[in-house]
Amino acid sequence: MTPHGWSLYHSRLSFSLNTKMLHPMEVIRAVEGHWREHPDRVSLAQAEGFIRQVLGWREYVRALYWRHMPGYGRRNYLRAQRSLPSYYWTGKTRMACMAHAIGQSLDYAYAHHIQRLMVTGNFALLAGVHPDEVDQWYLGIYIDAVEWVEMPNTRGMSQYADGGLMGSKPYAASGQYIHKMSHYCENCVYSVREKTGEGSCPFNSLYWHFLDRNRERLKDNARLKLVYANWDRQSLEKRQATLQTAARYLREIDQL
Amino acid sequence: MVQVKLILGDQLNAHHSWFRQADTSVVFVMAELHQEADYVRHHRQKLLAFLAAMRQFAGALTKAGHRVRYFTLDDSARFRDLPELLRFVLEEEKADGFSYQQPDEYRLDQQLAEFCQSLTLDTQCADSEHFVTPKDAWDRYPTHRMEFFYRALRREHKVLLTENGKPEGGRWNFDGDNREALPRAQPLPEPLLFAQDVTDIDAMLDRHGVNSMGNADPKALLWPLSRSQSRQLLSRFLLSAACRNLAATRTP
Ligand SMILES: Cc1cc2nc3c(=O)[nH]c(=O)nc-3n(C[C@H](O)[C@H](O)[C@H](O)COP(=O)(O)OP(=O)(O)OC[C@H]3O[C@@H](n4cnc5c(N)ncnc54)[C@H](O)[C@@H]3O)c2cc1C
Ligand code: SF4
Repeated sequence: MTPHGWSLYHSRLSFSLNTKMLHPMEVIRAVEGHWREHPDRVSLAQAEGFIRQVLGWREYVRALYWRHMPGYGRRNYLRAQRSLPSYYWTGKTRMACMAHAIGQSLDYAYAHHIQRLMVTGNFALLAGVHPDEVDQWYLGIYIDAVEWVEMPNTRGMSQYADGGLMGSKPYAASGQYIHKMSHYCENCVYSVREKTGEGSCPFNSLYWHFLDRNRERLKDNARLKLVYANWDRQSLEKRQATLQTAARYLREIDQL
Repeated sequence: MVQVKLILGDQLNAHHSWFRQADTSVVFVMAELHQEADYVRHHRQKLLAFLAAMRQFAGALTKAGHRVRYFTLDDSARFRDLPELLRFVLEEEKADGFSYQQPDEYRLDQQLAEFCQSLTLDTQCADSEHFVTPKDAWDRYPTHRMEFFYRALRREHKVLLTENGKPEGGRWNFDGDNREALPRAQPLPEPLLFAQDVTDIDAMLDRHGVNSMGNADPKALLWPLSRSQSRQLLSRFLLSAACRNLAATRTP
């Protein structure tokens, strides 16, 4: 997730695959063969990680799509209703991670998986944007976007609108995660260390707001038990301050 | 006996059995469609890349001796939608049969199935011969978690397996090992960016007022537009995979 070298850790083969100019098995065998010939240059973990995407995820989402359409395209498990903030179309936001992920998408019609999932997708999830609007954006902006693969990834994996068919828990994360995985936060006007008040990273308070407002639908998820326990352990004042900050950010969402 | 066969914009599979040998009684149809360009607001580069790749695919088929009828947006503008365009071709070619490849999109799948029902001639929906699993794979494989689906496919296709059928390295999953953040100062190889001139297509999109988003340099489109360019991108990826491993072992 660094601002430089955006295409190096990622193959950018999705367009060639989705137009069928390349066959998935051809790509898989090439990577497997490369590992067998040059185990000193590419590790088994890397080869396996890549093959998992093409043989695993890519085929899996297609299977899911055909099994669950057309109903899948109408799912909205979390009842999200907000519209997509205008900066998704311009990149003009002070959130450095978002400005970069969106700006790069507008410039190159490409973002890698973590940008799609943990930056733009995560923000839409935390803010409660209607999955139809999120879907439309992802279906339009990426070079590789075709509905059979875009929709399960967006509605399912990223927005949890399918109630957990694609992933066992929502990919919701606070600014801490983005801070750990990238270098954006150091050049951001928001402070990733702050949860509340003016200048605090919006991802931080929105994360708790998301969990709090969706409690009824998420509380029985085994993988979130600890997270809710953490939240409940905080003092009432602290929780209120966090929710108030989030509510203010949501009111001014187009100005972030 | 004339057969009309439709190739959709995401079906640029040169290895499909349809193309094994040239047959003058077969007419392939490819069409740039308002229906597809307008149903969502696409990135300009996506529109340019899809249309340019389609044109180059049609060119390659023609060169290999196939009969192709290609409709640009200019040519297809007088048809309301895909079925209307197809009806026109079937009539003009006095076709006895119509085939298409299994579409990957629900909307197109419905549209073409309905279209076929409205025809009196022989129709056929062929496999796109692209995916590893069949369309109904959800009911044939373990799917409650991706992991088990993936393992079944690794076994079935003998991918990263040892000679006695065990996963290489003794594990199916190396997730934990892949997750390091990117070290800051490391030599990065240049990405392979193509620079193709698609100004003619760009001008056509303007002419038709196709709504789009994002930025594009139609004089230097960076996406691969052919199978051979796609192969180059794959080779470069394998090379850069080598570099990144070197880099990773070098940085503290
Ligand atoms: C919200 C969201 C929307 C997405 N929309 C699309 C989309 O429209 N089209 C698309 O192809 N991918 C989509 N993805 C999945 C993934 O992000 C892209 O496939 C990947 O970023 C493409 O870049 P790459 O070729 O460099 O991938 P690499 O990281 O090099 O991966 C190699 C290949 O594996 C396949 N792959 C990887 N992840 C996935 C996945 N989650 N699902 C299916 N295939 C995968 C792709 O074919 C990709 O080319 C989306 C992910 C998210 C979170
Ligand atoms: S501080 Fe928050 S908004 Fe700014 S870059 Fe970091 S995660 Fe993004």
